[in-house]
Amino acid sequence: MTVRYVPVIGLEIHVQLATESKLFCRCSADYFGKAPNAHICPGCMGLPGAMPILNGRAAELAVRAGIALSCKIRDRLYFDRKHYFYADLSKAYQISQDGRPVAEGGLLKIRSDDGTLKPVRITRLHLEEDAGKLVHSAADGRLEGAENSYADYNRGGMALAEIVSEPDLSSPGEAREYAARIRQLVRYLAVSDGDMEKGSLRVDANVSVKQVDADTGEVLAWSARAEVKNMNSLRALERALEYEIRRHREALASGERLERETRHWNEAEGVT
Amino acid sequence: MQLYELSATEMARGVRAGEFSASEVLESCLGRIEEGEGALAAMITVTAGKAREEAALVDGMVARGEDPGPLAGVPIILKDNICMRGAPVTCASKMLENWVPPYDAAVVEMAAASGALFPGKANMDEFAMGNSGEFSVFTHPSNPWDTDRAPGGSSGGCAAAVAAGYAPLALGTDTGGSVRQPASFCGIYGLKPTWGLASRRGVVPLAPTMDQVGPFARTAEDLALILSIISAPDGGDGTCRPGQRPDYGAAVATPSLKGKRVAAIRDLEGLSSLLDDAVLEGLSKFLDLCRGGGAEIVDVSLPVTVEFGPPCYHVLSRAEAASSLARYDGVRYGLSKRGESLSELYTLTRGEGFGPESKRRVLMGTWVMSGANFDEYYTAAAKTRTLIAREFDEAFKGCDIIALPTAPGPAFIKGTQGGERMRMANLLTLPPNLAGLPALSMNMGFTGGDKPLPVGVQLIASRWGEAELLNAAAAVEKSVGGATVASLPARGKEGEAR
Amino acid sequence: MTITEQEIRALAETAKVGLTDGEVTAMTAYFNDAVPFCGAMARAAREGRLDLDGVPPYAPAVEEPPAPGEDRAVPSPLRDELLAAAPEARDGFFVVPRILEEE
Ligand SMILES: [Zn+2]
Repeated sequence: MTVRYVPVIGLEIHVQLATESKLFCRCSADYFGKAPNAHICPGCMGLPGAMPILNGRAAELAVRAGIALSCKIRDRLYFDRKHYFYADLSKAYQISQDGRPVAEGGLLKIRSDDGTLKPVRITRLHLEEDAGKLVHSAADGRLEGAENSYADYNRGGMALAEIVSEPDLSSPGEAREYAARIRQLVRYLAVSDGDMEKGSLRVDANVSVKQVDADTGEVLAWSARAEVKNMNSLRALERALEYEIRRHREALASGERLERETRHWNEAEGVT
Repeated sequence: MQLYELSATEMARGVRAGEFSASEVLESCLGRIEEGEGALAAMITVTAGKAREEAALVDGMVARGEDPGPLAGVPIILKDNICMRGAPVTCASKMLENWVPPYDAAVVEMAAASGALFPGKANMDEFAMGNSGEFSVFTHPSNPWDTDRAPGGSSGGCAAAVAAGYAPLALGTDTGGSVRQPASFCGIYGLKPTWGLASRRGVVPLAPTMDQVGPFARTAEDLALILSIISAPDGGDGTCRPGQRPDYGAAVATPSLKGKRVAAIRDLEGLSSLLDDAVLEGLSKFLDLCRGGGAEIVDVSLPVTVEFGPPCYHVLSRAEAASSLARYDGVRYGLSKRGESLSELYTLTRGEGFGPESKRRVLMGTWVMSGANFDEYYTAAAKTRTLIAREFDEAFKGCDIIALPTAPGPAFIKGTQGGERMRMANLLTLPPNLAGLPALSMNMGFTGGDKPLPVGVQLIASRWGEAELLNAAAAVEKSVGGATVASLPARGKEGEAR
Repeated sequence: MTITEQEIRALAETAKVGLTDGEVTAMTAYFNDAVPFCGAMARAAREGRLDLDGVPPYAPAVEEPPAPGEDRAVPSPLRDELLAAAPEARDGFFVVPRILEEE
């Protein structure tokens, strides 16, 4: 029996929307490289009694991207609270669109590895707030010390659109191509600057590998899905997926069972 | 007659006309606070200095021939979950005991722009959760009509303050009866507006789909006056309805019950074992007065509301409270108990900062929202809430106002609530919060005995029907009179107030 | 159904609320009293006394919601005041106990 290994990949892409202000307050969205907590207000700091006021432009940009991805657009916006306790989250919940995303059921055609056009289904596009950032030491050594971490909420409350694909991608090359097409699209539509290095476009990959009987096409086994984060370029995305797929193949081949988990790409060492 | 006994309308008229000054009004009220606080503990913070500056500004305007506005020189007490710059907004909790908000609530801005003065922040149940004032981490407030009894809650301090003449007006919040029940316990007016009428910007949230700011007053005219100010649209609250409000002043100027359909609730008969005779007599008296005024008395049926309102409210209010209170974690403001890890910082801070009722509600809210419990408890309650709202929609096709008691009985003795009684204490006030409807409580006289206690009746209207409520209240007030200022007990509990 | 003290401790950990042993006992009693009360609706639905089929969960809304906010950045004048209110701040940051970077 000949065995084939088929990667199954879906991407979640967070796109920072090209707005002047944050999603639910009017703090400046031009946060990159600014002094810590230079752009905070009662709203994005979750002060008692401060209320969210939706940024109309952010909604417009999300709808624009949704239309370009051939999604169905909802005629009203609904938001939910996603709760978790963490120091980068000022209200202990993120305002997101869990149940009823602004856009869903879309399609994006990409050039697949063999040169044919391949449709990739878009599950949904939804609006949500970004979290702040935690710093563990400053470059100049000012914040050295083993006992503290430091919270900067400049990014907290920034407007994001999260674009989730179905697991229709079957190689690192296709994943890269899909991400590149999304980046091109959001740039062309002026929805986002799409800068991966600055973090205004962030790609998380859900990947698993299925073991298939090459003759009959019968699926023999699946590896447990892993979520891979922290890829700061298209090249990194491709390399991380190559590494991860190899890891899954080897596990399947040796009969080892993988846990379902979240892994972080280490660019310097080339491992997840 | 002392200045503090005047209604807000009379105070503003006198100040604007130059008959007396805002400072004189304020001093009269501050004197009353000074005199009453030992026994009542209605206040958490008295901001006399700030109020004196505000009064001086109003007097300056009058002297220059300018009009300070319709609330000129009127002191307004704020519940201590409504933010006012320069004073802590404690929410009667250790968590925020020392936190001073950097902004005024929208309703404070609106009242200030109309010439109001703010002499202090009133006692309450912690984070507005409770119905007796006894969940305040500070001294528990007392009822001015009998200091052994609770003023109600959670806005108990506001109600006691207005009843005792600290000020003619107060602003509280009502999530399940927290304005109406204390109003009824203290013999004054309390109004919970339609959800979306008054801005909640700068008001510490408890259950955002139910919370509303609501005023206390001693006359229907004053209630209309303050409502017309605080119900202004506010773009800073995305849930506040834009557009013109009705003329509430007109509703109380020439009130009439002619042709109005006032409904009693048939299903309440099954609950008579939970209801004190005094409140049922108060309701009968109200209905008789309505009939005498030309109203038609009808009845409506609200079976789902009466049977499932309390558990529905219990589940949803806890779920929302757990979410609203999640942000108090000791990182950015308020109480903080540093631990070895982030998780420890959270657990220590929230363990020490929250009182027993807050802990119960946060845990129950977390529980009904989690995993397998979500559908069984939260979703079932959220669907039931839709049925309750529909039931009211249906009922209002056949009537203009629904009348019922405000609370199961008059004010209870402090320390006697618990279990089933406590769970059912807001049985009659929570339905309007679930359905987003306006509701008003007014005094219908007193019980007998050597320490007579006020008895309240509650009026509910359809959405945006505040004018309907004010009209009916003003019409009935012509027969029963406005609320009287309670006389203060002899001083004797010195040092109890904070 | 009985809720145990162990479940209450786990719940308190999820909600990040520290409880003393005495509080755990009292909380467990409260839960065992209140949970059956809270389950009244689902129970009645199962018994056929309350029809929740096809009923949407309640969603509060005003008839004409206000227009969304304009996308216009405004300065953050309260920055210093917000940092001053922090339990612990340093060099413009809010300080928390050390967190491992990988989280
Ligand atoms: Zn902000």
